[in-house]
Amino acid sequence: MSPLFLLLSLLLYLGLLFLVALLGEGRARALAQSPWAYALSLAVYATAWTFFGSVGRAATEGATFLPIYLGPTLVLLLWPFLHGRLLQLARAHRLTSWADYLYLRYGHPLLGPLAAAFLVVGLLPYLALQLKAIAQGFLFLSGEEGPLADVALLTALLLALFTVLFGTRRLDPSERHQGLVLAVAFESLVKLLALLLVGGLVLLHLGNPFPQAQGKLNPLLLPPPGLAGHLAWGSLVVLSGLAFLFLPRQFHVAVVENVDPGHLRLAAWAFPLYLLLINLPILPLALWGRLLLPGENPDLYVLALALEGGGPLLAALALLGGVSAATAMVVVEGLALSILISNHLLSPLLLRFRALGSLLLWRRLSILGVLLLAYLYFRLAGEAYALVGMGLISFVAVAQLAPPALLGLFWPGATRQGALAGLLGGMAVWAYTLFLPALARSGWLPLGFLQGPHPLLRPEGLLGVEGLDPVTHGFLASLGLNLALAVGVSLFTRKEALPGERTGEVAELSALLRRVLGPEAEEAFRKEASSLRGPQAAALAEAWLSGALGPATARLLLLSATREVPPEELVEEAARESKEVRAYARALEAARKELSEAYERLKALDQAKDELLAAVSHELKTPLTSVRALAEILEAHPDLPEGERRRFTALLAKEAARLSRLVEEVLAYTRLQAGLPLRRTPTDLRALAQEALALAAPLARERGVGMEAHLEGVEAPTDPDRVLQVLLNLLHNALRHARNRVRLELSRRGREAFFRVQDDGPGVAEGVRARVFEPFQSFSGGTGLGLFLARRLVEGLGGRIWLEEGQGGASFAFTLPLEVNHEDPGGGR
Amino acid sequence: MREKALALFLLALGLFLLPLGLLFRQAQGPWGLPPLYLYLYGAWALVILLAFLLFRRP
Repeated sequence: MSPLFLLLSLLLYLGLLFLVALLGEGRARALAQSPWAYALSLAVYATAWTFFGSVGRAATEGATFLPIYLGPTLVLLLWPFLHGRLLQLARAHRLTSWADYLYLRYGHPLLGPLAAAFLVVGLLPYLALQLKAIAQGFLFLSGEEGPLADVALLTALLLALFTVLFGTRRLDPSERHQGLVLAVAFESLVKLLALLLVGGLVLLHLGNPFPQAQGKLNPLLLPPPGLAGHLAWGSLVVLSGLAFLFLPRQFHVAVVENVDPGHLRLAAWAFPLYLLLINLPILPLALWGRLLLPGENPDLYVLALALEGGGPLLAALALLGGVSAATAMVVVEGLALSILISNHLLSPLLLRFRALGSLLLWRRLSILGVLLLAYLYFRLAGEAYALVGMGLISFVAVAQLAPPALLGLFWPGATRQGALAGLLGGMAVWAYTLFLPALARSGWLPLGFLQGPHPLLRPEGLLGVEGLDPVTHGFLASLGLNLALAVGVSLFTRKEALPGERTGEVAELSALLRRVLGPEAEEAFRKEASSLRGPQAAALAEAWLSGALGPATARLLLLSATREVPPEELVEEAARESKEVRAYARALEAARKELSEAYERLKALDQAKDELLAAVSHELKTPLTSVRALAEILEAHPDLPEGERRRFTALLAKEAARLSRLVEEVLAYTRLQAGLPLRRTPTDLRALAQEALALAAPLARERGVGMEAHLEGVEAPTDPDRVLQVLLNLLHNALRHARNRVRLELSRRGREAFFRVQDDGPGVAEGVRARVFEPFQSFSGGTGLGLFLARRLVEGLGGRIWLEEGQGGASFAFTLPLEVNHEDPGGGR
Repeated sequence: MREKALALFLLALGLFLLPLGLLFRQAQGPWGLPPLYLYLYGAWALVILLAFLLFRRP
C-alpha cells in the first residue's frame, strides 16, 4: 500500500478529529456533556493494546487477554462507593489527579511530587507502546522495512501538537475540555466499529476458525493451567481493575471531565458492554492469525487478516481504528501527565522563581517532553517487548497508588508516614522486578542482572518463588510490600494534624486569583464568594488555585493572602470573653447612666438648696420687717393709746409666732435632708390620729370648722413623731381652706394603712395641682413647706402621698406600709 | 442501591474468579465453540444485564 496514501489517510483522520474537537467546544457542547459521551470517553481505556495487542496476547497465551477487561467491569459496579465519593471530593477540592488526592488526604509535601514523578516514569512504557503500534502498523501496510523509530517520532510530535491544541488552551481551574471529550468519544466509536468490521468481514471471508483450531490450538481454548495460571488470572483481574481506577487518563475522563455524577449510572453498564463488544472478534482473529500466518508478528494479525480478508481498504480502516485507539490514549494520558507534572513538579519551582505566569507554556512543553520521553523508552526497550507486555509493566506501576489512596479513602487510621513508606517500597520493588528487567532484556543492562545478587533476590523470582510469570510476580511482590508497609507503618505512627483551615477577605483572595488565573477567574470568584464567610471563601480560592497549580502551590500562595483560622476552643473562648466583655460594658454603661442621673440630681438638689436659702431668707424677711417696724412704733410712741398698743402687741406676737413656725419647718426640712435615721416602733395609728385631731382642735375652734373622724384600729411599725407631723401638716392645711368641716379617715387597705384628710374648701385649682408638693409653693399664705415636708416624710416611711381628684374641696391621702422588710434610712433622698 | 451494587460486585467477582482450570477441561463445546469462552462471555453479559437493570433508573 502506498505510504503516501496511508499518510494522507492519517492526516485526514487527524483533521477529522480536530473538527470533532472544535464542535465539542462549540455547537456540540451538549452532546459532549451527555451521559453517552461520558461512557464512551471512559473507553479511552481501550488503547492500541486492545486493538492490536489483545489479538497478539490471545494468539500466544489464550484467554488471559480477557481479565484486562473484566477488572474494569468489576470496578465500575462499585461506583456508588468509589467514584461517587471521589467525585464529591474532586468537586469540592478541584482535584485533577490521584496525586492531588494523596496530598489533600495526607498533607505530606513529598507524596504529590513522588506520585507524579513515578507515574510519569511508570507510564512511559504504556505511551511507548502506542507509538510502537502506530509506527509498526504504518510500516507493515506501507511495505516499508524501517526505520520504525522515525515513524514513531513523527507520530509523537503530531500527537503532542493535538494535545497542546485541545488540552491546554487555557489555564482553566476546572480543567474541563469538552472538545477533547467529544473527540475521545468519537474515537471510541471508530475503534469499536473498525474492530467489529474487521472481525466480521474476516469471519465472513474466512469462515469459523474454531473447528480448525480444535486439536492444533487447544491451549488457547483452555484456561491457564495449574495454580500459577489461576493466580495469574486472578492477579490480572485485580491489576486491571486497579489500573482502570488509578490510571491518570481514567481519572481525568471519569472524574475531572465529569459534568454530572448521574452519568455513572449509564457508564456502569454501557462501558462494560463496550468492552464486551470490542472483545468479541479478538479470539477468532487470533485463531485465524495462528492458523494462516504462523510466521507473522501476532501484534500485526489484525492488519494482516484485514488485508487478507478484505483487501487494502479494510486494512487501512483497521489501521485507522488502531490509530484512533492510540491517539485517544496518548492525547488524554499526555494531558493528564502534563497536569501532574505542572501541578506537582513545576508549579512549586516556578513559584520559587516568581515565574508562575509561564505555567501554561511549561505545561505545553511538558506534553512534548512526556511524548519525547516515551519515544526514548521505545528506542531503548520497546522493540524487545510485545505490546501487552509493555502495557502490563505500566499497569503494575499505576497500581502502586492503590494502597495509600484506598486506605486514605476508607481507613481513618492511615498516616502520611505509612502512605509514604508503602509508596516508596512498592516503587522500589516495581523497578527491581519489572522495569529494570525490561531494560536488561532490551540490552541496556547486562543480562546477568536477571540472575540477581543472590538466588533469593532474583528480580523475577524474589524469595525463591518460581513458576509465576514476571508480571504476576512483580505485581504481587510490589503491591504486597506496599500494602504491608502502608498498614504496618500507619499502625506504629501517630496521625498528625493536617494543615489548619485558613480564612481571608474576599477582596484579597480575588486579587490573588486575578494575579494567577486572570480577570475572568477573579470575576467568577467574586460572584461565587460574595455570600461566603472567610474560611469558606479561602477554601474556594484554594480549590480554584489547586485545580490550576496543584494543591501544594495553591496552599503556598494562600499563605500570603490568608491567615489561619483559630482552633475551635479558642474561638469559643474568645466568644465567651467577648460576651463577658459585652456584659461588663453594659454594666459600665448602666453605672455611668446612674452616676450621670445622680449627678443631675445632686445638681438639682444644690440648686434647690440655693433656691431654698433664697426663699427662706425672703420668707423670714417679711415677718422680721413687721416685727422690727412694730417694735420701733412701740418704742417711738410710748404714749400710744392702750387699745392701739394691744393691737400692735398682738400683731407682734402673731408675726413672732409665724417666724417661729417658719424656723421650725425649716429645721424639719434640714433634718429631713440630713437623713436622720427612722425610729420605727409598733405604733397605734388610730391613737396617733386622735392625738393629731386633739392638737388641731384649737385652730379648728378658732376658725369655726368642725372636725370629723372615721378611724379604724390599725397598728404599724413606723416613726410616730413623723407620722404625727404629717397629719398635723395636712390638718392645718385643710383647716386653713375649709369652710365648715374637715374629715380625717384611717382604714386598712391590703398591706397598707390608708389616711385621708378632706376639707370642704374651694379645692386646688387645676393649674397648680401638679406643684402642690413642691417646696415654697404657698397658695394660702403658709410657708409653702408643709405639703413638701409631708411628701418627703411619707416617702421616707415607705408610703405614698397624693392629691385625690374628683372630690369636693381638697382631699389628700397617704399610705403607710403595715410591714417593713428592710431597714430604710428614711429622711428622703 | 449501595447494597445491591455490592452484591452484584461480589457475584461478578465470584463468576470471574472461579477456578476455571477445574471447570473447563474441554476445548470443544456446544456448536463447536470452546466452553471456557462461552462461560466467560456469558457471565460477563449476565453481569452487564444485571447492572443495566439495577442502574437504569435513578
